[in-house]
Amino acid sequence: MPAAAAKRAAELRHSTANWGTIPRQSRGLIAIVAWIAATAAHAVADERPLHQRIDEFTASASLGPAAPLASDADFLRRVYLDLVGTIPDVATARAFLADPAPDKRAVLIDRLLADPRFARHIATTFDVMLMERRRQRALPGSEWTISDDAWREYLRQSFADNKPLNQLAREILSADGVDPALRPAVKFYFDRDGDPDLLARDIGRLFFGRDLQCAQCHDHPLVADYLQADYYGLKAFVNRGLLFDDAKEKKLFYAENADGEVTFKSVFTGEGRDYVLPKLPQGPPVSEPVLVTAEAYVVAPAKNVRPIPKYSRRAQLAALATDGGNDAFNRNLANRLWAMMTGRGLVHPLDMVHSANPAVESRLLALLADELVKMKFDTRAFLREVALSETYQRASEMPTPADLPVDATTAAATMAAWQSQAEKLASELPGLEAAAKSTADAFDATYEKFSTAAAAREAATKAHGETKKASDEVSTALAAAVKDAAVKDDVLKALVEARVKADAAVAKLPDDKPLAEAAAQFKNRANEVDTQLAELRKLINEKQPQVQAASLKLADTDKLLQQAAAELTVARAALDTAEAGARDARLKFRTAQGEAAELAARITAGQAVLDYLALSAAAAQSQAATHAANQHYADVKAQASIAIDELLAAEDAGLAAAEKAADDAMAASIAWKALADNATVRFLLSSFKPLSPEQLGWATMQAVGLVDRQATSLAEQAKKDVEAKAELSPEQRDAEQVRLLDARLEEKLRGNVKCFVSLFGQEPGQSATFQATVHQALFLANAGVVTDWIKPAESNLADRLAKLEQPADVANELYLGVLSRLSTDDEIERVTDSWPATNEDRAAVASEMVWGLLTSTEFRFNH
Amino acid sequence: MKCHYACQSEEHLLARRQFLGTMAGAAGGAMIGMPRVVQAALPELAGKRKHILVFYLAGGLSQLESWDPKPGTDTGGPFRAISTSVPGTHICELLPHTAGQMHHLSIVRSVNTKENDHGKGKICMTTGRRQEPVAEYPHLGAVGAKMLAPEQLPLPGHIHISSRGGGGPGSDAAFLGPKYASITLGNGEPPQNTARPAGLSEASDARRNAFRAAANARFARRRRTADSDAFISSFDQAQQLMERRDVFDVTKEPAADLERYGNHEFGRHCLLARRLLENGVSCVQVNHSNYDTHYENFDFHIEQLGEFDRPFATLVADLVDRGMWNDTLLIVMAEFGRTPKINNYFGRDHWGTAWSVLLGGCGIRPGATIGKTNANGTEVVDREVDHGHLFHTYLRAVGVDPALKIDAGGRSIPVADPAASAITELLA
Amino acid sequence: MSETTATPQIAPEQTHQVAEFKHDSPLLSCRFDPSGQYVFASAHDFTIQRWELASGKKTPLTGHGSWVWSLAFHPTSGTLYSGGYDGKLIFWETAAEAPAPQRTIDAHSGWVRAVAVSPDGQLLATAGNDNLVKLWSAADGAHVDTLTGHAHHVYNVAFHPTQPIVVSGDLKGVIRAWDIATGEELRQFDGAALWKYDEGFGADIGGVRSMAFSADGKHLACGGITEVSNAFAGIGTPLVVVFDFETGQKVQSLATTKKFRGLASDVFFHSQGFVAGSTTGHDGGHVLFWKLDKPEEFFALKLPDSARAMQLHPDELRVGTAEPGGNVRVWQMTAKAT
Repeated sequence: MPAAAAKRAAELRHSTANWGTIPRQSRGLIAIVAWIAATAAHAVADERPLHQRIDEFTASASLGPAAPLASDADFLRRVYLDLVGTIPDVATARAFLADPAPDKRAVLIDRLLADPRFARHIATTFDVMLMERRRQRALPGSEWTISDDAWREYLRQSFADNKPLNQLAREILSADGVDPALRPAVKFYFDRDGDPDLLARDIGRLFFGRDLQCAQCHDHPLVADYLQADYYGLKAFVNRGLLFDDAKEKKLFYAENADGEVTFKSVFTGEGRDYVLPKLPQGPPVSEPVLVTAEAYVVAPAKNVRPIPKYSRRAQLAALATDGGNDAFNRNLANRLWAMMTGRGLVHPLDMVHSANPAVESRLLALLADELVKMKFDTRAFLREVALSETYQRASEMPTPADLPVDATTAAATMAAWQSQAEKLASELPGLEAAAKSTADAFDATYEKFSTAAAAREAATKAHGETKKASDEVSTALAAAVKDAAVKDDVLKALVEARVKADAAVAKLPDDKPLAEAAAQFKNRANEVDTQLAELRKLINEKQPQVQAASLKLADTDKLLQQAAAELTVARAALDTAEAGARDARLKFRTAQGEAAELAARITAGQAVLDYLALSAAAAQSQAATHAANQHYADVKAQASIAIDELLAAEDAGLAAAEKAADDAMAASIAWKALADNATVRFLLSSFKPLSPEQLGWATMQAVGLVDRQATSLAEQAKKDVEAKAELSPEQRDAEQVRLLDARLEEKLRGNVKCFVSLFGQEPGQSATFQATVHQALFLANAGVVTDWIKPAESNLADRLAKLEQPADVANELYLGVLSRLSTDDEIERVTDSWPATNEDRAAVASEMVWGLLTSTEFRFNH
Repeated sequence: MKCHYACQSEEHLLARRQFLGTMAGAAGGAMIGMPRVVQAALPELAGKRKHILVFYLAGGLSQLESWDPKPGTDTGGPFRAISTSVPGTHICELLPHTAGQMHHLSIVRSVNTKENDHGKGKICMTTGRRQEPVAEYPHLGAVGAKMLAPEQLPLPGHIHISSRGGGGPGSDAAFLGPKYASITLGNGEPPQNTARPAGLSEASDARRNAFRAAANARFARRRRTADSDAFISSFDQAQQLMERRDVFDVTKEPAADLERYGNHEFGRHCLLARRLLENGVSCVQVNHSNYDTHYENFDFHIEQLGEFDRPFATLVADLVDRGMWNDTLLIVMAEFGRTPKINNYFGRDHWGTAWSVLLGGCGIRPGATIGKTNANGTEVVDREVDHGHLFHTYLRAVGVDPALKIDAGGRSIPVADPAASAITELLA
Repeated sequence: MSETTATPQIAPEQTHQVAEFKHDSPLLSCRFDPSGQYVFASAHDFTIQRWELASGKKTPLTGHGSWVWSLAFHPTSGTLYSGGYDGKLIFWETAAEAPAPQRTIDAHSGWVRAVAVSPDGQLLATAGNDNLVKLWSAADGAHVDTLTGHAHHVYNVAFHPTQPIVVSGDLKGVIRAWDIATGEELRQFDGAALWKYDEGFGADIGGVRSMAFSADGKHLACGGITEVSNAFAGIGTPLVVVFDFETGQKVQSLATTKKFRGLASDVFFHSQGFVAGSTTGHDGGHVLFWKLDKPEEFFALKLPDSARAMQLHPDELRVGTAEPGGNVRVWQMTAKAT
């Protein structure tokens, strides 16, 4: 609000109200407000449908003003765009608007949730959310990686099967590309080049709603909640991942090693951690099996071999995040699904969850998260409840000030209640902060012990490894010697026998020289072997004690290793306790802080309402004053004898009053706009959502009649193909025919959508923010693809219009076709004025009108 | 939050309403995604509008054959150094015309980007930051378009002129968004979709736009947001751009000028750059290809610089004569320089270790020489700088605070790498 | 050494190194003086180096302000003419104890890429980056004529051995024969195969890098690089195009069987009926030997380093090559003396 108005408001506030003291008659009201808060807090036990409780929360968290329900037409267009990503065809629109049934909105919601386009639209939304239009990883032979189409089809099928969202997330986070059925899921890692930092950041953002990037080099300078330890705790899960090119299979995989520790140091303080254990944001460090490297692998890493660890940190990440027990994960999903429908997160931006950026209504976010878990992460069921809520169905334009349903007294009471809550919280904060601080220090101390123990164990492992090697060497040497000796021993026996026999023979044939020589031979050889044997025995005798020594030493180091491991486990246990304590205290503190901030925001918004009330009252007053002044001036002028000084004075007074009235009116109207902004943020007023590039493409093709034309031309074939499938029941056939037609339609028109994406989409890797560029406008104005669609042809919209005689019919067909609503009288009038009398001129005018509406703000935005 | 629009209120307040509307918008800091700081920093609030003109000598100009010659040394090659209009400053004999303009220009001879890869070097030099997988940063021209161009300028704020390519917006604006991405005029062709489609008469176009305006007016009575206003104004910009389409038509320039610039592709591109700047385009990059001379570096530099020298020098002189020089920052850069060592094929290879960048015009001290390399150019010996320092210098030169934070979907990101700083002695 | 043996059999396949001279700067050109006593080579350090073949004695010739690309000798007067990238043409006394510039002429604006001396010793021809071919008096360096017509850098120039004609070739492979007396262009030869405009880089590559006449003047050989796939990496193959001088028709395109990468830096006709060309480039140095009847070489001598220049010694037995590594090597095309 501009300074002038703010100042004025402040003055008035001072004069009209002093919130410190609460009027007696409102005491009861506070009680009521408190009661609402209480019941809402225990809303978990509440059995009413979720959508009702949603509305209760959004109402109880504001003073208003709340917009009424949107018109049927606005709702129709909105829910089509949000659930199936395009606008309704003319027939559907006409039928819905004419339908008197009170439950027609609910019926429509269910129909759209069952529509095959629902799965694709949600898939597209998740594709853009998860991949942020990153370029497909360019590899030598990109067939090694995952194509955009394969990934999108995987997502589409997942939503078509209504696969639980946590399961989808698990498949993506644990993906390695091995299981053919789940292979496309690994694109999340592929297109980020498996870069641990990029992954740590994006997993934090997309799965936990926390952008920890700024905590990479130091604790986040602006966000107290985001610690460097959180960032690296997350990074530790993916740090062991590696992209693996399998030349044999001609495929890329996302493999994982069994080692690779994460360490960090703050560039500010220089403090850091040498042993970072994987942990989820706000979660405890994961306790891991302590494996010796040799046993760490199912398949050990080697050249051209994809390693498979026994223990996968990534599998842990996937399991821990998605088992329904992780609050950050659940809330992030709930918040993102909510934002898909309402255009804003309860926490906004979606990846800035922290205590200084609290949810508009954290109790509501908690409720949504819990319910999402209860629903077993059923996307359809969840979105259905949101769509059914009045909050979702509210109008996107402000009610007039006259409709503002705020009674000053009630408002004052509610405000007072909020304020006392705020004061209570404020008084608790210091204590909580102190507790957080002391437990954090305690943790640091235990960490020191832990890291010493960890270092000791590392050393012990190393020592053990070396001793083992040495002892193995000596014992193998000994074994060899013994074996050799045995052989030689054998030979010796044989020789001795032979010698004895030979000597005997010599004795019998003393003159036989050769025989004597042979005998001598035996003797000599026997002696040789004998000496060799002696040497061997000597060697063995030397080695034996060495072996014993070695094995003793080994036993010692083994003991040491066991000890070190034991000590580590103890230290680890201590660390975990300390960590749990610190985390708990920290969480309490941060949560309280968050509540305080949330309450403050609520109070500010409430204050804006009161400011407006004051300002508008003042405006009315000064307006009256102006009338009086003018009247006085008129009277003076009417006097028989005009006293010129008096007249001038009266004139000045009149002008001054008018000026003041203008200022007050201005201030009031600005304050009113401020309310509109608050109302949007607090979901009392539906926000304008720019159509996504895909929505814009499909909606445009639907509006001009291109989709219907293609559908008719494809329907015949689809029907044939389905009839060919005898095994299907009639109902199955209908369903299958719809699915088949939708798939072929999408395939046929995909190319056009790409045009829109390339011009209206964000840059790769950036989060989507609305930007209207001159190139988009030029595309819509002059590009052949668009201008061809709006030329009358083959019963497209322009063609249908050109064939109509009555301007009123033209107007209705036109507005139903493009804006999904009936035309107003003034619009019919305008069409009537410009509708040519003669046929030949109508084609051009029809195109002009279609284009005029296609490029209007009403078409460009979802409202 | 969206800016406040005091609409739906009494007609007689219209003028002041808009006044207050904008003020509120500035305070709210959400004028079409533009953060408060930027709003405040818009040079239009502070005198004349600034421009950035980049000459990108793709492939890597040899500093030894241009701004930092080393004649008569083992690395010097065959060319001689010539004196310039700045006493004591010598450049390579291949740039005689440029030599006559050096009193307007300044050389940084001590660039060390430690980067010898084409792609990464280009990222360093055009974004002022090293490539990181985690984040992409906007091209200097995109930053300039956002900071220097008025919101409602019908012409694109960021134009590249090349031999080939062209078509839709490039992808170099990162978190600034497509609005600031470069438009490439492939060999002087105007941007796509800037001509009214054949078969659509002017009258018909007027009628359909009138119909659009009426629809918008009606809808605005229900609700207006900064987004819806931005959408509407993008069509006004489109119309103005189409009306000014001949801005991209260099043949509209006097034949005599075409002659002075040399009637060849690069000459025409330089003249087109002048035309674009004169028509208010904030950032123009002229690409000259190619200098990646691993082979017969010397013959190729004769050919390429022979083409470059005269049109470039003519453009500098013209910008000075036409009083645009003090508002136009000129930069001659490449992804890196070339090795002092001459390889066996008379070539020079990739070299980010000790090379030169040429600057001039807006905010730059003329005739300066910053930094030094050793006798045969194998290392920087004085005032070593890298892409970060240069990027800070560019921004400071055009009056943009390098510490400025830009709001990117909730995160605020400093426009220049906070770790670096400007080459202050080079700033005027 | 081979001089002593009586008329040894020329056998290119037997070519072997017989001498090596070193300099500490990469070498550019390589020429023997008519007496065959010396070999001259120019270098990146702007000098010309003279080695006495017999003793290996090395003497520097300093005077140029840039690289010297071309050396030529008067057939009788003992004068050496050098053309440099400083645009100068310098006269030297070939055999002087310490040769010094005798006469220095500003021959061209931009590089002098080639110098040639007429067979009768009357004229000098120079070619340069100013797209001009100029004729000078070999005796006093007086300017005789300027032959204009080339639209690009002129890379080479050569005198016809028997007729009053000078031939020049430029970057784009345009080869012109000029009447010395009138300065008229007589005919053109199409050497376009030796040039390419690389779209990717936006630059020209090629040129008539080497040029030679057969002794009888029937044939003109022009060498360079062809089939260029990447100009800035110098990916192309050597080619020598041989023309029938009278008809101007191409009689043979001498290429390489292995298609290795490089260009034909120098070329000569041997009286025994073969043509030899030196190569420099990514696949190193070679001397290729061709017969005119076949496009493929009959022998390729692999050199230890690129041959930026090559010349046949007056004795027709030996060949000299100059290398970027700073070496001049002398090779003999006969069986090794055992």
